[in-house]
Amino acid sequence: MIESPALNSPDISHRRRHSGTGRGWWWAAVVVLIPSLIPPATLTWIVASGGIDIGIPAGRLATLFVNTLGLTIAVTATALLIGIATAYLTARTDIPGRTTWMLIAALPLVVPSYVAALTIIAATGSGGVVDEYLGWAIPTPYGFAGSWLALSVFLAPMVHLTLVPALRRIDPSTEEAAIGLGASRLKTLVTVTIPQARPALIAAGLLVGLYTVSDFGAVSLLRFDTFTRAIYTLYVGQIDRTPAIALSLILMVMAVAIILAQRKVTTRATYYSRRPRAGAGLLHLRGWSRGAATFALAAYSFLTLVVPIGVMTRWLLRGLSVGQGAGQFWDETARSVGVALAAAVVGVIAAFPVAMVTARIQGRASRLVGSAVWASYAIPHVAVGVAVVAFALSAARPLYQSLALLIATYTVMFLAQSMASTEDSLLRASPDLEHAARGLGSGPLTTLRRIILPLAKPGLLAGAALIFLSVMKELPATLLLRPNGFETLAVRIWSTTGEGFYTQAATAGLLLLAVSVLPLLAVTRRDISD
Amino acid sequence: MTRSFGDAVALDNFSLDVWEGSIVTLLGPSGCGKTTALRVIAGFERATGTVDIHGRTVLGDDVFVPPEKRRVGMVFQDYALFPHMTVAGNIAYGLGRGDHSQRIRHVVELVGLHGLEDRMPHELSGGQQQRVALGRALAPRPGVILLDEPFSNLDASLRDRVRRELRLILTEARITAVFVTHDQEEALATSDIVAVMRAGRILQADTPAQLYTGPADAWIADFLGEADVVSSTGHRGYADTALGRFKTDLRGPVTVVVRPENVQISIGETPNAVVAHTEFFGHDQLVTAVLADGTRVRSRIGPRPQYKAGQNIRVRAIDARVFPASS
Repeated sequence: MIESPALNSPDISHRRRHSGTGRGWWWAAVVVLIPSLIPPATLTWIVASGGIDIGIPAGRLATLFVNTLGLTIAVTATALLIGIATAYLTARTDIPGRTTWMLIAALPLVVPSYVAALTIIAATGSGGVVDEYLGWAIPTPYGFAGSWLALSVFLAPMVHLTLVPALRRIDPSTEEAAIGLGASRLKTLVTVTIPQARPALIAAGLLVGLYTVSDFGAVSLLRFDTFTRAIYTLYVGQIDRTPAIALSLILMVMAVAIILAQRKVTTRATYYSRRPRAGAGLLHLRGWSRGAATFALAAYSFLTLVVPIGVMTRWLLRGLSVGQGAGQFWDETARSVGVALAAAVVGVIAAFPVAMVTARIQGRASRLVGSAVWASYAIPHVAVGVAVVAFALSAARPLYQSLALLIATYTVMFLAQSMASTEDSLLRASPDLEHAARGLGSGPLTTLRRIILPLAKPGLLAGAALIFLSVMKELPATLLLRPNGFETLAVRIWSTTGEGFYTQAATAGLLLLAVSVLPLLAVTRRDISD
Repeated sequence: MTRSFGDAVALDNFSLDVWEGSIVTLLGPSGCGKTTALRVIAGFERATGTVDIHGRTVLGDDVFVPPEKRRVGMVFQDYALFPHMTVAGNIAYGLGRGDHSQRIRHVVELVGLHGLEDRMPHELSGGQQQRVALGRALAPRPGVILLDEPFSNLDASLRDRVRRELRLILTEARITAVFVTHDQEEALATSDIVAVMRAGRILQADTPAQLYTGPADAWIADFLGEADVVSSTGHRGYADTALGRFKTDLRGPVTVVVRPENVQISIGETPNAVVAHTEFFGHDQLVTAVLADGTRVRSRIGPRPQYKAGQNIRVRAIDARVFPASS
């Protein structure tokens, strides 16, 4: 195909326009994208019509900025360090159990930030699990320290997952050349390996930054005054909701700026690293370095997997032993799973036409569609929640606190996840497959049913699993949008932790992890095996 | 069958008639528009102009027959086999509903894939994949079959064999075929008619032998094989060169194009060239000589005798084509 003149000419969109991917997909994609515009449009409109005064003292605003920014920088730096270590050890060295470790290091992603916060709170303080076993009551690290710990440790897998494929694509002979020229292993890592993975590293760092800026669960439970926590308390506690909406707009702008930067780096990153797949060339670890590396991975996994499960199990057992009800959470589980499944199905269907446009049509308009979807994904959930409530109250009253609105909001927030995985599947299948089917007498619909959908199936399933996981974990938008009395696992974990009912919180937390772990394993294995 | 389209982008007043049952090749360098032409015929792309297939207009003013209704078989450069279907599934794809086991069996025999019906595409070699692609395109008995660089993904060792087989299969199926390639040898060996393309235009369409021996201009001569060029002047029906005297009606500056196999070498006569170097191929050898004015001329001769660099020789062309000098 490379010699095809149309491919080299700027007229490529012409070629694609008539090649089966037609206007129908465009229209469907545009219809899907309209709801995505509602949250940013609502926030902007309310703030714009309300004047400049947002009703927040400048001092408070400055504190929020400093806190949010400080936490973001600290978490990003720490998560990068941890993620580089786990990715390098499992992707570039011959550490025993390499591929198993590679998978295990990704697992902490299943732990939502409020469960991380719950673990910290329930483990520390007088009467905490550490006090019980070691007789030493560590004061609970409320504020910056606790939030920093919870977020950086549990966001590191994002760095890990982004970096592993990038590191694997590095030609090992470049490292061998450095060592042959007399560089030490550490120097080789810092001067040869990491620079080659730099686009992936920047992309991962921005992603961690985005999640930190947006996080509500950890900072609200650990009482660190950042934008998200301030927005929620201002929104719930005050009659005048303008300050919360104004803060949401500021937060949204920050987050969208981060994701657009991230996208820019990511597209370059994939281009950058498209080189022949390197076979062997794993660094041989000897003696103490082998032991130290294994210990480091084991310690990280212990901290992120054994500790949360252990602490929660201990509280569950404690509650049971004193006859305290562990809480009946079957309804909550059913609700969580139900909305997550519904959102997954809706999200996959909605994302399909968008992915057809971004994967099959080139040009500015198609890129814009992709960016719009990613931008909606980046808007912090607390801001989305505030915006959607305001929108429903003023323009769609019957939808307020309805399940339909909740599921629609989930779809808007997580559309990017299924779009990306569907797009990935579609990009792997040459458009000539569709041409071949058309040439053999299949109309557009038959081609869709017999060729495109079967080929996109892995991407569709992965997209569904990702949305399912995200909805299971989602907290702030659920808090703001759920119908009255619609308690999900996430809501229960958050509220019971806040009230100090750790036994109940632990039970709900364990249930949440149990339901999430299978889809996560499926998705992670696919990511890593690629 | 008449096809003509004029498109601003890749095809410039492209026009070609293809006889039913013949094999036509569009030959040209990368980016000459030959693949675009094929895709316009198949309907994956539009152009202004008209395309008729067996007397039916599929593209014209206010006419655009979608690809699935054109009865055109296409073999793609990368084969585009459906990766989620077996060999039989791929071949059966275009046959629609109903029982087609007999037709499938027949096509499988025709393309020599017997015993591989239940394999998946990724389990096949490149040559086998190519035959699946061909079988899939032939199965619905299309009116015309289009082949886009069908051999470019095959090993050189395999290419000749597959090419011969393909030619046999197409002749046996008595089907009109349009090939696209940038490989001259492939075009000359496979086709009834070769259409040489450049910059979206067809420069010359002719039988392979006619095209090789009677190229329309110096560019085609050079593109279709080895050719050397000497300058001369047309005068009173002849052009005189160091290689001999050639008939021409042209007057003024001319370009004389000679093919190495038409250049003979002798020793003992008055030398007019010096051997620069020789390349030995076994069945023949290529001797590069430099004329007195510095022009290089190649001669393809039998393996003997052996010439040495620096040796004085006499070169003479037994045939040549004379073109106006500007081309």
